[in-house]
Amino acid sequence: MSSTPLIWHAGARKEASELIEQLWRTAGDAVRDRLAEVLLAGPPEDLDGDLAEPEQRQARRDRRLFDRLGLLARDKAAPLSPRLQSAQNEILQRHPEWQLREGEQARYMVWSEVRNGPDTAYSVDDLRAMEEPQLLELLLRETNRRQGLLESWRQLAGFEPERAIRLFRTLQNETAGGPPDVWQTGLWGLREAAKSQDLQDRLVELLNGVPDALFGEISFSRAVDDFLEACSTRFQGRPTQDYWRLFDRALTPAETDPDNAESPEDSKWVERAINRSIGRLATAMFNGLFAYRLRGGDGVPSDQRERLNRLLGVGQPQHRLARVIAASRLPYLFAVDPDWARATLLPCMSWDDEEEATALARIRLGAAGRAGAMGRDTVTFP
Amino acid sequence: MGTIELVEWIIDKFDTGRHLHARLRRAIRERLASEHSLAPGFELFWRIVSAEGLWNQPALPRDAWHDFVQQLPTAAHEPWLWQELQALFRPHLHLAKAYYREWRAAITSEAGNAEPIGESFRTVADATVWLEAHDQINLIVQSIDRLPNPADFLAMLADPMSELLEEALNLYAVVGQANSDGDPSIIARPSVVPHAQNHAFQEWTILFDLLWRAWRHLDATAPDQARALVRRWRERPYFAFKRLVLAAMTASDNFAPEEKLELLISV
Repeated sequence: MSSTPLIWHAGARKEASELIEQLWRTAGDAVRDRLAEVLLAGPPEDLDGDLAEPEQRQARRDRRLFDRLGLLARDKAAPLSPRLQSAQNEILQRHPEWQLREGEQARYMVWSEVRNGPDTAYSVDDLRAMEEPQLLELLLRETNRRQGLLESWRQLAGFEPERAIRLFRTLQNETAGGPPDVWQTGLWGLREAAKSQDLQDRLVELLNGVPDALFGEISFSRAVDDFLEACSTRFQGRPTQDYWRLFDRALTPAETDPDNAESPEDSKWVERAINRSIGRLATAMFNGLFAYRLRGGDGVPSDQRERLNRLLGVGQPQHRLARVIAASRLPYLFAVDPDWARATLLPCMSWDDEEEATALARIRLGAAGRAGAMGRDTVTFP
Repeated sequence: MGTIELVEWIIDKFDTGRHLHARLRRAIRERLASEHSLAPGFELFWRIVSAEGLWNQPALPRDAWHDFVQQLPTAAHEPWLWQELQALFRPHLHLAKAYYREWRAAITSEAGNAEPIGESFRTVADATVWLEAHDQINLIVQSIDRLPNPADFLAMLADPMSELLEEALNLYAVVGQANSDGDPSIIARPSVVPHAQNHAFQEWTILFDLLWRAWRHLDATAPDQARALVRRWRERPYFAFKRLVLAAMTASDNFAPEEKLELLISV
């Protein structure tokens, strides 16, 4: 059972401070006098019993009173009484370095400030105000708090996509295409803008022109995967040949991306698939197929069959996450091309390979549960 | 049962939504009855995970909030809907691997040897309170805000919401973190009154927001009910309710300065 009056309890400091201030400002003399007596009497002796030295205990008692009187003293409309003022002066003589924290902070036991994103010397507005050569030079060379700089660059690319594209065109001519992290964060920033067909086409063309060396950088190729997926959510017609060419370039590094081969420890295959490079490419692929407006029995288009089979890489663990995404589209794929689905996808669900079957079956059963409409006979495992 | 590896294996299973089989739970309880040398932190952990009640796990489907949000606009005055709301806000304990061990190990060179694992619950696992609707809580609150008179709705539910807050603190009491002198609200809810310092990192603190809005409405429209609510809060056994009473009386003109001072100097 607590024996600390709320007026002195550190855990109630915010609420108690506000009530002390209110009473001092608005209450009648009797209440103010009683309040002053309580304050001058100080906290219970045993409140600071954890401190061995009497000087330490006195200092902490002083601080408790100092903070409360300091709040009252700030209100010029209700000045401290002479006795309270005298007590405050005595404390300040013992601790001349003490100050009340500013504004509202003085009422809180702990004051915390949360800022999103890494520390940076350059805000988005700073970057926006720069001429392009200056901005490019900064992105190429700056190493101080670079992560924060790149975050500002990401935001700038989102706000001013045309400017980002112009900068990318210049960057393309740098040795090996320039720093991959500038491409990566810039492409992340353009994710939303990539949903416009015109801008998407220009970016695809631009990315098809970057040196092969850049695709050897995993951070770059993953950002391209992410970009291709973003594009695929707003196709206004069949994807262009340029889009598929970029897709094929991105697929090569994804096939060796070590993150794709790891199995999730928590069996969350779906979460893993949608957050890994090959899973993103699979999503882009199926969205691309959907844009063909295929009907039941049309079959997988001949120009996509080889690409689709390469993506799914049956039997290869590093392609499993692509097959997880494919499993989520099973009813569609089965309707469009039952022969292909029977020959390619359904055998992956065989319990001969328990891990593979678990990964693919989990997403099918999970989707069925969410839809609440899929009977157990919808998918017949071979 | 006295090994951290087994504890963390169980926590991993809980994280994937699994729970102990009834026979395993019974076996654990039987072992606890005969095993007297188990360190207190481990013993409490096994008590919690082998419990039969639903206070150590969620009980509703993850999308249970969805229908509530659909039904609220036309059924806000239906008692069954109030029950659904309370069910969605029902607190339960969520266990995670002990962060204590990680940071304590990192500072061993400066701070000396750490508390032996198992000595207290915090060395074995971290416990936080989650609400059934979990990461969809804000969608529920937004749906309440879209009602024609959200304050009326919340005021009607002031007592059930108080019960839910007390239940959240009861769960913290299970792991030794809540009593009349202190509880996690001190850190998780720096200001009872809504304020930017309340970063809402812990979802159960949304109950303060809802209770505060309910209280303000009652205080403005039904002072007797508001006073009665404060009286009931004063009888609840946790420190958070003392802070709630302090904040409420400060914000109200329906309490005399003498009453406010009496509260301030009370323990």
